[in-house]
This record gives sequence, structure tokens and C-alpha cells, in this order.
Amino acid sequence: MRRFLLEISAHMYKEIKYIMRDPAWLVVFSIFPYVMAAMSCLMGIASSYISPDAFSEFQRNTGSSNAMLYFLTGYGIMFPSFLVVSVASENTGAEIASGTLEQIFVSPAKRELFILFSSFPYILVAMLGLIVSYAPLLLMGISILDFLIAMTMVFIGLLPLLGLGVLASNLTIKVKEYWSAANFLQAFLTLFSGFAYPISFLPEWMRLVSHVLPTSYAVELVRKYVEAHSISYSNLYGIVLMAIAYITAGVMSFRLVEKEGERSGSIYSS
Amino acid sequence: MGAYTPRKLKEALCPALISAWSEVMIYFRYRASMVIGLITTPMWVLFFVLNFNLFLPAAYRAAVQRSLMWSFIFLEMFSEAIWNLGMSLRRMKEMGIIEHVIATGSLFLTLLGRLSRIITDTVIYGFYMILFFYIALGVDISIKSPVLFIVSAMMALASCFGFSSIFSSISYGRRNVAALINILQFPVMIASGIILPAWILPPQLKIIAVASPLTYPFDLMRSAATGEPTLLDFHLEFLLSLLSATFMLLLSKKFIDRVEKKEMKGEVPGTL
Repeated sequence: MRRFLLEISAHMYKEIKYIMRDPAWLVVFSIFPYVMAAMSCLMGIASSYISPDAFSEFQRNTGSSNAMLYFLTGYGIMFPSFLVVSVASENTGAEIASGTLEQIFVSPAKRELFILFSSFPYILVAMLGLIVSYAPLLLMGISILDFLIAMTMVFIGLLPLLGLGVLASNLTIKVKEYWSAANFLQAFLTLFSGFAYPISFLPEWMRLVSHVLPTSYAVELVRKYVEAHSISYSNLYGIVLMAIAYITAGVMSFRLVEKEGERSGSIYSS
Repeated sequence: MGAYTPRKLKEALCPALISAWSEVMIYFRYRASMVIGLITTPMWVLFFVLNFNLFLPAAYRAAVQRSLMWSFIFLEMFSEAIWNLGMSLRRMKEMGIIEHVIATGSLFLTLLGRLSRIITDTVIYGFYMILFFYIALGVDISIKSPVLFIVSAMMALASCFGFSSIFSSISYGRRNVAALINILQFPVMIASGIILPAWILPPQLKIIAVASPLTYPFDLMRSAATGEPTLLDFHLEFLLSLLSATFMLLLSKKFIDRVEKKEMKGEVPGTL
């Protein structure tokens, strides 16, 4: 057990050292939700030049009277999600590019732990960024306890994405253009998760697709809590089940890709 | 100084032509990325369309979607310019090829050659987006004034080149150029009427838009495509677009030459 924990902490320590090299990314992750929320609000302002009751229309469609808060809650989850789904591929891609993936693979370290826990510190970084993104909630009369509960909900919501990130990373080993799978996942999450609009606003087929994404449950969970102080337990259970399913699928598919890659030698080709 | 014969001109432009050719080759090298780009572009478009639709009753959506289609094409042009050119000097420095580029040609012309990639990308994604908006959303894709559209597109390209090259020469000594671009690109695009038409921006943003050299060529391009009103009087805006494109090109040459001089003197940035 001690060896297991030591190995996890070593992977995490290495990544934290990398993150500390360039903390500017933390600033980017904190600012980005504000930029996007401002842009979505600007769409509303621009729309009011065309249709005078644009913001009433917004309230009708979303049930929220505060557009900035509505968008900030969604975009606050969007950017940490981007980070979590792309980081495993980026790490694997960087190891392949610098030729250190082989070093990790010949060391006695468990490969699954590398692929899973080298991503974990980025969730913590994303959470730090989220504190800044969600800070206005505190100014809008939300108590510190509610704020912490909302943060915990986002944290739980991000866990299944670790599994999706590992699945994307497996494609990295096969395709080599490591950003491709992550770029696809980011666009997919953006369209179907309801970061900037309610899922009910989507056409039926899109609503069905959104059910397989943990982010759509997480966004709804946090919004409901922030706006109505109610916890949707069905969403919470859905996320926990997805975390188990996606992480297991990610690790299992990694084993398959690794086994096949070692047999054919494709895992070590650039 | 001898007269400029066609041969001499060809020799002088050689670094730009070589750079143009290699950038297009590199662009088509990453096929998986291209395929993913073509798949994800409609996803991003739909996301913003849905975002806009939250505010708009159905009757108004068609006109907005037409303007949004052009916004996406402008966004592609600016985004490709800032990511490709904006990071170019830093990348050259990190890869250790900046000295090689300076020794064998001109840094300014090499960067100018990179426009080939921006043009290729904008044309591919531009046509793809027009097709998507036409087929999926039934948007009117006609261009009101094609000649003015092409002229203003060239001015917009020159302004994007100038802006991105200046950014690149200012930031090439920094480690976090990518982070800076991420922070900068959306506010610049909003304040320059690239994402939303300049004439419908709130008054406070309109003041910034008037001061941004990127606003005029893009505003003119949008007006030429859709017939929307221009921010200023048409003739004045055309003149300002021309001046801004020329000014940005000249200023970027100054900035890039300064980097070249620094490199030749051995004043290497501290963070590598």
C-alpha cells in the first residue's frame, strides 16, 4: 500500500513541478470563464438592438434573470473540463516527443497509475482556477458553505472526465497527433453539455447525446444548487456511476492499446 | 544600389516564397488534425448559434445567423494569424532555427511567407463554413459586393499579419506566449468587431473599436458581404482600412527588424 501511494505521489509531484514552471496558465483558466461569459452577455446586448425584449426571451428560455451569473456558472465548469480531458493526451504526447515514455515503461512503475494520476494535479489546478471563476457567487449572497458545496459538486463532476481523458490519451498512442482527440472531446463537451444553455433548449437528438456526458449532469447539478439550493441526487448518482464506468473503460482500453502496441512495436514509433 | 531587375526581385522574395511553400506543406502534414478540425467546426458554430438563439425570437434568427457566419470566417483568419504568426518567433527561438533563418534570408519575409498558411486555412474553413450554414441552417450566403469584399479581405489579412507579427516580436522573449494569446485573442476579437459587428457593440466598447486598427477592414468586409451598415461613413472607413493595413505592415517590419538586430548582436532573451 505504501509503495502504491508513493508511486501516485511521485507522478503527482512531477506534474506539480511542471505546473509551477509556468503559473500563467492558472491566470488563463481563471480569466477565461469571465471572457466567455462577457461574450455571451454581449450576444444578448447585440440581440437587443434587433429584438428589444432579448433578455426577457433569455429569461423565458433559461429561467434565470441574471445572464452573467448563468453563463459564469456554466463556463466555470467548461474550462476545467477542457483541462481534464486534454491533459492525459498532452502528457503522453509530451513523453512520446521527448522519448521518456519508454523510460517510464521500462521502470517498475505501474503504467495505469502513470496515465491516471499524472492528470490528477491538473484537476486541483482547475479547482484553483474555479475558485476565482466562482468568486462572484460569494458577492451575490451565496454563503461560504454553499460555495464549497458547489465547488465539491464540480470536483465530483470532473472525475468521470479523467476516464474520458485516458481514452483520448490511448488514441494519442495510436494516432500520435495528440491534440486531435482532445480537440474533438472539447468541442463535443461544449456543444452537448449545456455550459451556455439549458439542455431542454436542445433538439431531441442532442438531448439524448447529452445524457452520456458527465458535464451535462454537473452543470445542471451546480446551477440547480446555486439558483434553488436544491441538490439533484439523481444527477449526483449519475456522475458517480459515470466516474466508475469511464475510469474503468479508460484503464482497460489503455491496457489493450499498450498490449497491442508492445506486440506490434507501434507504441514506440514516432 | 542597382536597379531592381525581375531576377533580383525574385532573389529578394525567395525567403518569402520558400516560407510560403513550407508552411503549406506543414499545414497539410497533420491530416488527423485537419479531419478533426472539419468535424469540430460545425460543433463550435452550433454552440454559438444556440447561444445567440437564447436571446432571439425565431423571426430574427436568420439575419443574425448570416452575420454570425461571416464572424466565424473572420475569427478563423484572425485566430490562425495570432496562433501561427504570434508564436512564430518564440518557436523559432526555442527550436534554435532563428539564427539559421536570419543567416539565410530575412526574418520579415519569412514571416510574410507564412501568410500562405493563413490564406489556405481561411479559404478551406471559409468555404466549409459557408456550406455548413447554407445546408444546415439555410442561411443566405450571397455576397453583396464581391470586389469590395476581396479588397477588404486583403486589407484585413495585412492588418492581421501586422498585429500578430508585432505581438510576436514583443513576446518572443517570454515563456508563456500561448497563455498570453489565450488571454488576448477573445477580447481583441470582441473589441475589433470580429465576433460581433462593430455597429452593434455597446458604446463603451465602440470607443475601443474605433481605436483598434483591426476594426475597419473587418467591418468593411462584413458590410461588403451582408450589406450591414458600416461603423463610420463608407468612404472614410475605406480610407482608414487602407491606412491601417499599410501602417500595421510598416510597423510590423520595424518590430521584426528590431528582433533581427537584437539577435545579430547576441541580445538573446533570458527565458528559454
